[in-house]
Amino acid sequence: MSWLALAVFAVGNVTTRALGMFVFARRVVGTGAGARLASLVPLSVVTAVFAVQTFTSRGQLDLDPRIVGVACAGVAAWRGTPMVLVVIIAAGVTAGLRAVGV
Amino acid sequence: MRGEHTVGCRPVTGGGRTPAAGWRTRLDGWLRVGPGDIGWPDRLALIGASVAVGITVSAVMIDIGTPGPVVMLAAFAAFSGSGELAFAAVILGGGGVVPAVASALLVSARFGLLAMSIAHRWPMRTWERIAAMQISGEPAVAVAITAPDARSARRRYWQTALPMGAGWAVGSALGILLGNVIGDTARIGLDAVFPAVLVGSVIGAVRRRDTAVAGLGGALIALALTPVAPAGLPFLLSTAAAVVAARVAPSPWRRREAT
Repeated sequence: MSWLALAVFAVGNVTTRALGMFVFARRVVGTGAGARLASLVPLSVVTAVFAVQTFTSRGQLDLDPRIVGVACAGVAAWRGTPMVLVVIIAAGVTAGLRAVGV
Repeated sequence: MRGEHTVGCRPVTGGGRTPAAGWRTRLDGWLRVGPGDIGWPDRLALIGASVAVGITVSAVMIDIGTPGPVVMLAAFAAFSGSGELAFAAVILGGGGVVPAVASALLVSARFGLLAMSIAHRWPMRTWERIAAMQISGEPAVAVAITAPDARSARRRYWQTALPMGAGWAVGSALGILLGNVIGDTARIGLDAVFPAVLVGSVIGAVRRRDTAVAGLGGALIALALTPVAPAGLPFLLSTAAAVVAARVAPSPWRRREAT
């Protein structure tokens, strides 16, 4: 990444965030129905990022031990396990499965 | 001390802008942990996960020939590890700088949506809006959205965002100075850590019909589109699930069982 690329990346990124916070927030979610949508949109985005990072590698579906690790973490989180343990379970199960050659 | 608050919690049920008057500009001692807060063990987990991500992202950026100062500035100016990785992926694939930056921006465009979603969650002054939009990441926004009221949304947001931001900054610097000290991150399961943080911050959403539709729908849309759409676009299009979910009743799945 060159200095010019950095400048474009940084300015573009800050602009996107500012558009969301200062422009779209007023236009789109300033109303009653919009407020409801605003509380649902992040859930879709978060689970989209989650799904892509769990089930795909380099733009393709990729089923590997990571899925089992994340699934165990999901069960632990569902049962109210603290985040520390959830994270350790995810890494531990994934690393363990890879260590035994799954 | 709960009693020191001069302004009570204002539940955000409808829309509209809540007046900022009366809200403290300080975070009411975010270092202290009260009921419903993100505790210190969880903050340490967030810091650790972010340090690991920062190290690996910086190491990748250095590997493709980026000067150290540029990597550090990119970490703060963009606050988007996935954006940096998208840039590196295009360069490593033999692509030019223009498509690489375009890919990085597309992957990071979702942060605009996330910033939009918290804009009215609690009253903010301009400086807090700028800080919140710049640091907004999935886990912090998720815990803020699922918080029961505006005050706890604000506390949880910063209690999640600040440790992650600090960890990200430290990790980025370490990756520049020391290279990839972690080694093969997949071997020790670090690629499962960020998804685990995400699942931990949204798992409660499956209890309600509308939030479950938004979450599961978003995941399915993203998975279906990832092989065919440019990286980042599936994140934006996943919001179609939220539009559908807005028509679903906000009730728990097993409401009748309670009788």
